[in-house]
Amino acid sequence: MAVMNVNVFSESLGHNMDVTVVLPDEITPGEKLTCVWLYHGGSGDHTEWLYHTPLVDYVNERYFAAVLPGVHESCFVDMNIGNRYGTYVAKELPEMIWKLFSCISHKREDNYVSGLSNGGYGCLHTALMYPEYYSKVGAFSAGDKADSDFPNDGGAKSLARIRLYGDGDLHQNEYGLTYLADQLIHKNVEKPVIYHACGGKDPWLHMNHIVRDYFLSHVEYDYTYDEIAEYGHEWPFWDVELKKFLDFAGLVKK
Amino acid sequence: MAHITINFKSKVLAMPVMLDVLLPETCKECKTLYLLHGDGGDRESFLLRTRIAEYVEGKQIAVVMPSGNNKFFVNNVNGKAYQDFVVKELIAQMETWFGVSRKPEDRFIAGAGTAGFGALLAAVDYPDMYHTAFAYNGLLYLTYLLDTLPDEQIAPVFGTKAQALKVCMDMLGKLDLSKTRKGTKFLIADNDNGFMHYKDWSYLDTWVQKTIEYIAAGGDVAWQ
Repeated sequence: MAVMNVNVFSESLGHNMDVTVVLPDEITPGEKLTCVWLYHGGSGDHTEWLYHTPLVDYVNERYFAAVLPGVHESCFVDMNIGNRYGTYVAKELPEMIWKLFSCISHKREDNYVSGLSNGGYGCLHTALMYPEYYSKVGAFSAGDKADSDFPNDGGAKSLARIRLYGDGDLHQNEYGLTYLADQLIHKNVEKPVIYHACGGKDPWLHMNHIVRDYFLSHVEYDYTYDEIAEYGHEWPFWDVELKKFLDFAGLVKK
Repeated sequence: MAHITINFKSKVLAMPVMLDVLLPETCKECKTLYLLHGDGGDRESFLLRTRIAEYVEGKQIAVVMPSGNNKFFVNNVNGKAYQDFVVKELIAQMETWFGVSRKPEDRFIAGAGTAGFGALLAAVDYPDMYHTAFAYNGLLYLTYLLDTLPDEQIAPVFGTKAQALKVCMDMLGKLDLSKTRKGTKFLIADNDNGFMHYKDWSYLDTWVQKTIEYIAAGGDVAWQ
């Protein structure tokens, strides 16, 4: 395997960012590898998939490229007050990576986005915002931020929510997953195929069910849901689900 | 320009190897400079001690800096094949991963100190692989260097000091100083007390800067 730390300057952020790229050992010269974008969770970064799963082995056995971006605590969106992490991670970075790495495919059908927790929300948000870039989504433990409690009481949690999304109803703007999904139904573009999973003991299981029920009742979407009763909000579950998603996406063991 | 740190499993060396790469964001068929550190250094030496990142900013050239573990970047008599690693495996990997040029005329190799020797030897042994080979304080004082290096550092690489000297003399013979070569060009940067300046990075920095200028200017170089 090759594990690379890529440090690049981002125009949308105005500063440099680190990204992890994992490539298989043996790459056929001239190859255009399928690329899986892996988003981290709320307190994670561009390395966490490396340390909590045997990702390097999956990349070798299943022959694809994995790219692990970091977006600090931004939940992979353009912040209401703050940096434009959404533009960076979903659009600017892929365009840079495709230019830097001649062995990675830039085609929509070869680019999938996946993530856990905040990154689970993030990967759905990314694919619904930029459906022309990504063909498949693997969202694990992924609720819609629009369904989170928002007392707007001046507390730390409310202030963080305002910094990220503002104080509006996220069902009515582009931070909301169902809002984006509704918009996309009316657009004449190919929709991403969605794989969604949550552990039965996840404290935010009910939020996942809201997302599940939305997509199951909107037949315009090719949507698959998986729930494993004994798992909570934890890495053993996300490791299992990463393998299941890779199988689902056709990246099977060679 | 992207700064990429790579950890990959080298088949030739049969172990994980680390290297740093400076890659233009718009690299399309860009030139490559394989820049090899001297004794006591590693993949980060040129980044930390020279302004190599500044020199290549905005230029269509990638800089590849592998760690070489004080082994001269030659095939070691009692050890691993570092020259095969640099010449065969690393070039093939770079050209598979990134959109760098595959043409020998766009490929350059340079090294400091013992790696200067390794860089010249690579280009002598593979005359069709590089446009130009550079050595900073690498060649003229190598015999002096061999005298000062402890036996335990020479033994894995060359065997005995006599064997090391023979490798040097053979290489000088192949260089054929008196004639203009049709293939690879050679540049040796040294001065009257080259060895004394071996650890002087400001001196090396000047030459790294010149190297980049030469490459940007199309590699118009000569013996110095």
